[in-house]
Amino acid sequence: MRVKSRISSVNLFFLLVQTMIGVGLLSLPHQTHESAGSDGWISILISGFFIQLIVLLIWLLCRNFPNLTLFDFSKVILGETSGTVLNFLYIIYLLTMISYIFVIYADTLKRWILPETPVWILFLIEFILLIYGSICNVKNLVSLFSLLFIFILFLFFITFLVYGDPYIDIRYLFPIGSSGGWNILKGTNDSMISFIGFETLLIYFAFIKQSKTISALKGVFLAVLFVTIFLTYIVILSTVMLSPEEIKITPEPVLYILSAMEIRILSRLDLIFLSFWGLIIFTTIISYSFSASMGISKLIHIKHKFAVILSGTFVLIVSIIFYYMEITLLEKWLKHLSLIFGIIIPILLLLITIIFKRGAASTYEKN
Amino acid sequence: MRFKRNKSKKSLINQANLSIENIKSQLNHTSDLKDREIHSNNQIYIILYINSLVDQEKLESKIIKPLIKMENNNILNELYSQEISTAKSDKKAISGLLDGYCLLIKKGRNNEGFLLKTNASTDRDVSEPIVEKTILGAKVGFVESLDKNIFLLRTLTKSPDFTVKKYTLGSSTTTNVSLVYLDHVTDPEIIKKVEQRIKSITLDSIRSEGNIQDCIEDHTVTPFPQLLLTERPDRASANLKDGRVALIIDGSPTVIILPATFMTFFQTPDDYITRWWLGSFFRFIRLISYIIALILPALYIAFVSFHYEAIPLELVYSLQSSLSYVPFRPFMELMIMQFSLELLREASIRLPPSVAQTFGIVGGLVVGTAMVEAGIVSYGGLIVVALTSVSSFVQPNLEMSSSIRIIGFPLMLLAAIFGFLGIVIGVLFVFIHLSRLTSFGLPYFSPFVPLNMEEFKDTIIRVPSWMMYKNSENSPHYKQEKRSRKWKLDESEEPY
Repeated sequence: MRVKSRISSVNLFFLLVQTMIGVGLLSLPHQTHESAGSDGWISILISGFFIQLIVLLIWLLCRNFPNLTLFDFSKVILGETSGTVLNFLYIIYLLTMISYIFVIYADTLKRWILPETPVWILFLIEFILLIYGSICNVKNLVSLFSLLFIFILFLFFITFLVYGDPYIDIRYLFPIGSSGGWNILKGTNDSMISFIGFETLLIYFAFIKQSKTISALKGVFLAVLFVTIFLTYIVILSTVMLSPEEIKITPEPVLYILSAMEIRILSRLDLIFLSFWGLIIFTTIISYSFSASMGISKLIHIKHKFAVILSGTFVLIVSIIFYYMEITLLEKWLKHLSLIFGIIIPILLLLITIIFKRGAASTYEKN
Repeated sequence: MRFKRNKSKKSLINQANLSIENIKSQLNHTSDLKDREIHSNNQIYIILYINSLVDQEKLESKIIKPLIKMENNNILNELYSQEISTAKSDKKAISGLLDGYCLLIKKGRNNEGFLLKTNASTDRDVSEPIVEKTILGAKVGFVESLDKNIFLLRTLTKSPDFTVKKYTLGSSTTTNVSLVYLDHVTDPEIIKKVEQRIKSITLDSIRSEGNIQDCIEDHTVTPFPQLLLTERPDRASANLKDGRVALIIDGSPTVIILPATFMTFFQTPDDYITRWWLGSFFRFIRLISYIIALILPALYIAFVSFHYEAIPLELVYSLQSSLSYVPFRPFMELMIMQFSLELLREASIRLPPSVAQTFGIVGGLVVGTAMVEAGIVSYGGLIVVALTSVSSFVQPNLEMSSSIRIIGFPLMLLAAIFGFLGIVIGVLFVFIHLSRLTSFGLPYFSPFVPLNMEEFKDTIIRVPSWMMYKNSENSPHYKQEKRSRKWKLDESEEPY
């Protein structure tokens, strides 16, 4: 692939953080609590560590194919036909992921801010922003994501305001490890979906300068570390703030905590949190749709612009269908799908590459 | 035979035959085109000049007088003109005449022509800039003359690297434009780009810097300016030292600085004159005020019409008491206010300064109070609009503060439709748009995105000047020494 614009390791950090922090953030404490109880934060740490390993494997895979994205090197590894099939599956997976985010986002907004707005308007807004945001090159993507990184920091700051609350009780965390090792591991399985987004590395590694050196990996490691810390923080915060019985019945613990808070000039912190969270969600959407559109444009040889419109339309239709169907069904699928597409397939590809010694000498290495 | 033909061809190129009649007819026999014949040393000279463009006295004392008294026929040694060039073709002679040169033709088998500089100038004196005021900065502004503006820049930027390149633009009427930069400091890539874009301008005539700006800026469909217009030589000079390029247009007291990134529009000369604490503070205030001016009206609309539960109860009561008499929705209310404010602003520009003050009091205070008491707008709306306009006046750059107005209205509309979500959508749109903007290939949010820690020192805050060293590779001549405060080490004393 001819790479027109290259990104640095620091840029990759922003790309990855923005892609990974997303829709899972709000319900994460609730989900981990279901399986791991008050030890949910340990599950997050374990899965964060696990993701670091996966990311390392993805890097080992991608460094064999400098300047090639997944959509290019899958054909080198698996051959023309099965490579194309795999690309198609990945595109479908990415688009389904966007649809899921679409539905969750619209649903959350409808429940928390705009109860009377028809849902198709929300979908339409998301659709327009997706198309406007995704017709660009990687450099623009990086610019946007690093600009919006400041809002992730804002999310941090908003949660600091919570500490004035008198009901905060650190004893909810203890005794550490009370849920038992097996339950914690089961929680790891559940929390893995909040880390989803790292599989876009299969595409972004193609754009990085000197993808063979270890410095390329530095940004990725830091990104995963950042996300792990952020999610752990959110989970610990919710565990400390809400009693175990409360968490069980609150699907979005962070928002509940914030909506109960009242500072002098603002009565509804959850509103601010949701707004900033909305910006963060869109970076995930844009990142995914950029990757998916790249796959589409490579698959059927159309311009990126039309590929974005095509994927946007697909996502719009699918998400409307899923909104009226059962959303939990999609959620269950995606949990397995993300494991397959994020972890299992890259590992398989890596194994095939090592065993059959596949590799591509890129002609554009030097620029 | 062949050799001979070659020779004759060569001489033709060297001494083109200037035809006086042709020049005259090309200039439509305009009545201020004068000619004078002088016989000196058995040689006939004809001086051709445009009366209105030429300094009469210069012409008489420096050209005509020496010409009459001349003893040999070597013109180059006898005339007192600063600038003499040979006019090889009618076209060149005409453009010289239009620039205020006089054309001296030595009559003979081939008419030899010389262009002598005799142009008159009607420069006004340098005066204080009007729009970009500073408290402590220099009281010098650019004027309408190209040469004088270059002079002003050169006196502030004494360096052998200072380079001027002249261009003549326009096909039917011509305008002189100068490109000024510091060689070795400015990125050659940028200079190449600017030159290429200037050369591609094929406008009929250049009326103002706006024409050039339209032709060379990266993105035209955007409210954000990508070129900095300034009337202050100190600002222009500081930007030159930072590796930017200045474009000076003849006849305009405004200089174009490029490339300009987002943060460029928030810097003022005052930041560098005061101590760095103050400079940083003012700059921070400017940035905050930009954000306030952008989203405060939208926030007000969102809060009042959608999320009144988000504001504290006491505030709800006081807002409610004044809002309940207003027949309009908050959006309409703010639109009315904003619109009348725009009217006031536009009107005060046209009025003479003495009347403008009275007008401001009548228009602002009286109308504002009366509007609230008549129940057309609420107190809350009035406060918001007043704060917004004050914040937009804080902006040091006129075009940047205009961008607030252009983005502000759609943001208000979105807030009126979707509330808080609308603001988020609008802000995201602006962010996506901003992330794509470039100015001559430089990303608009340049020091932040892509992250460059070394350039960070002069953005949101201004670090003290001894910390502002640069080690960038393309400016080998301007590597600032790291330790300007080395004396501190020598002077410091141990407490015991």
